[in-house]
Amino acid sequence: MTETHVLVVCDGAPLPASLRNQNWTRQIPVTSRGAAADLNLRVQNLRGTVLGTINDRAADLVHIGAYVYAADQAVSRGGPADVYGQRWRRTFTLCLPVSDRAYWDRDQVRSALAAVLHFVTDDTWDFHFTEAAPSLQQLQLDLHDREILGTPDAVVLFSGGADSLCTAVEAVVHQRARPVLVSHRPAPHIDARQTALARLLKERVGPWDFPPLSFWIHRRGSDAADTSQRSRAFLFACIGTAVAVELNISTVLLGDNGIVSLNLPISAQLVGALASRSTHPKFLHLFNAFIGDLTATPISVINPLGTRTRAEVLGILTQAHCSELLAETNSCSHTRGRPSATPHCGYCSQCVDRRFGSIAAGLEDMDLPEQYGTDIFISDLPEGEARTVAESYVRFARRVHEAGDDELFDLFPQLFDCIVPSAGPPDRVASELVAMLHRHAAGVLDVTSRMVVRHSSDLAQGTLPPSSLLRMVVGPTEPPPLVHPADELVFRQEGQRWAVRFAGQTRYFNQTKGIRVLARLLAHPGQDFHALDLAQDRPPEDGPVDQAQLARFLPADVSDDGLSLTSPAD
Amino acid sequence: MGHVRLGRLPNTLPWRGVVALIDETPDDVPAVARGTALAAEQRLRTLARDPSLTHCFWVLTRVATASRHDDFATQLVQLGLPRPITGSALGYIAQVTDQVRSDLSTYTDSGPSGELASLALRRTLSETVGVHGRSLFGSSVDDIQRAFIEHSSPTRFGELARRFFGDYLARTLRFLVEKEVSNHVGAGHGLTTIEASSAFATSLDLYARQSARIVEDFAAGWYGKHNWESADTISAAEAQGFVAIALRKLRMELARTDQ
Repeated sequence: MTETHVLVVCDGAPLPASLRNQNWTRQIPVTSRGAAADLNLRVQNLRGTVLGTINDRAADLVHIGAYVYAADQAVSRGGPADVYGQRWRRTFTLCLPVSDRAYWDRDQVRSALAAVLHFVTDDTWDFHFTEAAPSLQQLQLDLHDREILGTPDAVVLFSGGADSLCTAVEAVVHQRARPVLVSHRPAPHIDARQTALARLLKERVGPWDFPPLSFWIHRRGSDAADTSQRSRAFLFACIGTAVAVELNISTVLLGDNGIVSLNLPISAQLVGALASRSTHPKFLHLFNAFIGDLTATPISVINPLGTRTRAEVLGILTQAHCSELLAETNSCSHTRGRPSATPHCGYCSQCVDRRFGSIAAGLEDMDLPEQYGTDIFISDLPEGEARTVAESYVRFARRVHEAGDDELFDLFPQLFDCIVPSAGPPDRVASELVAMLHRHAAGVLDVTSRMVVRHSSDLAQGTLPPSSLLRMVVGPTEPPPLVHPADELVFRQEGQRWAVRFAGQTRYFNQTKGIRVLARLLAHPGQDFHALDLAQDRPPEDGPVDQAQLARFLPADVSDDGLSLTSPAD
Repeated sequence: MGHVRLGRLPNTLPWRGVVALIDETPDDVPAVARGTALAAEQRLRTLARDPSLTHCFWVLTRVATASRHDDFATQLVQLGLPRPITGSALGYIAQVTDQVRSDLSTYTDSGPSGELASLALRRTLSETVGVHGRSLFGSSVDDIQRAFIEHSSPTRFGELARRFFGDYLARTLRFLVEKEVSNHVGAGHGLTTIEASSAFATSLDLYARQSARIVEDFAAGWYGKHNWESADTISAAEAQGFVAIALRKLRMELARTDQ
């Protein structure tokens, strides 16, 4: 038996008799209060001030989202060894206290809740609500005084990524809206980034203040058993809606470009929510159905970017003359532990899409390759995520580019999920989707072509690693011996790495201080350097050195000894 | 792209054999398919009893049956399918998709295979609408009915079954194989470029669809017998019986060594 059936008891909610003697795979307590709390749940505004109390139903909504988020992370979905994905789908039964039990117990609400969670997580969810003591459900948030936040009229769910930035900019510049930025803070380094970006937004796109509200909701005391976090989108939408309830706002903007939003499988191994559905049109449709009766005035969570490609979305920054803000955003899936100089891993699906998108949008100067730990175009991509995402991404674009409109629905029947009643007439919606997919594919292939041209010299010389994306696109070039005769010596920078050829063999080395020192010494044969000058990258006292070369350590050709020292530009 | 959860093939002898075939002789698609079927034999045997696969196939039989009635929409409802909200074929297939998702939600054990069956159902519906070159865009629910009337005779139902199981088989094979393919693209591998990788995926897809011809005649005979005996109300249990045999036939077809 592979089925995982988990009972989750939230904040000591009493267990109904019907649940006591069932054959649960596991029983998990989730506690958000007291010293033994394993779920942190609090709200903070810009000034770090902890505020008053949120209304019952909105507080319930945040609690439901937080409990689901905690349960989701507490149970493994199986790892890479689960080749058939038999542990991917789980069944949860949650017992949880709420303030407005009569509302949440309504069949329509419960079924809508189960439906939206099933779609976004692939799991099956069931809920048993109990009456909470009034003090138990209070959330420390008081937004009744709208003046504190400058009388906002929209909520922007703000992750600190490029698309959420574009959503905020477009709302203010083009829609003349006054959004409050609502963030989920799963970790301190993410909070710092979001706060810094909000401050820059105010400086560059003002006069609106962009007041931020940060919800600190995360596990405490132990690492997650599962890190896929497919329920995080639900939590994010819940907190945005709760803020909208408190501020009497009807629109919550959850922005993602349309390609990310659809998240069609770039590889056939990505089935169901293995490819996340965080802003999928169906998810938003089901979520809005779930919150439909939450307040007298309906609230809608919408994706204003849903029919635009990443490159088109980034155009918002260009039009608003604030494209430099792109450099302050982070889209990477692997942010934990990354060096500040390379905040993007470069190879996760988010990074790959961002890299292609920024080049396609003409914003590469604001999204420099140096900020990526791996330059997928020219780096040696190791087996696993890096090579699979890069190869699949381009293969997907080629397939979409070649396919006609009808064929796209044959190849990707997932597109039928995107045809939701609230989006408009089905045929019009479908036409918009396929047009966007074709624009995306054309953009990806165009960027690929441009990068092939940019690195044509390296490709012709066969100096790019065989598993770099460009080599996988172009294929084998001349065999290495023709490019590098056995007696040739090479010490050359190639993108982010250095190629060293000696005794007929070529090896690649990362950019390190040592390799730069070696390059510098080799570029100045016969010249003395003081050890401290080398250590501190200072020029030698007695020798004129080309400063431009020194700055990047791209040495000139040296004729003696057959040693070739060239830059990629050579 | 949004987040993705990638997998790898197990480091066992049969799967290492599959990886070696992908790496060294990807042009021999039948060998890759055979190796995959053998490595996944136990799972394929289990899928023969998968309630999600049975349910999706059962839906297909119901649409075909409903198409023969004048009041197609009412008949769909009586057979447990949704009533069309708009007249659009695209819209109706989306409605069926929703209903099937709801129906399958309790079959947690199916894992991703449940979704693969649902995708195969959707493609079979859309492909059948377009079988005479008719575009899905602009087609109506009436066009779905017309397309399925043509496929509601036993012989033509066999084509429907071939389409459905061919797509399901192709997606199942690619779900497994594509956990490794990208790792074996580039110089020094059998798939030297992304173009070659694309061609490999297309060939494997086509091979699976061709292999599904093994169920076509069997499906025709089964549909004629059971639909007549049950007076247009083929039961889920009857559908399950067919699926179990069809999956066995497909598994044996892939395992053949004379291809």
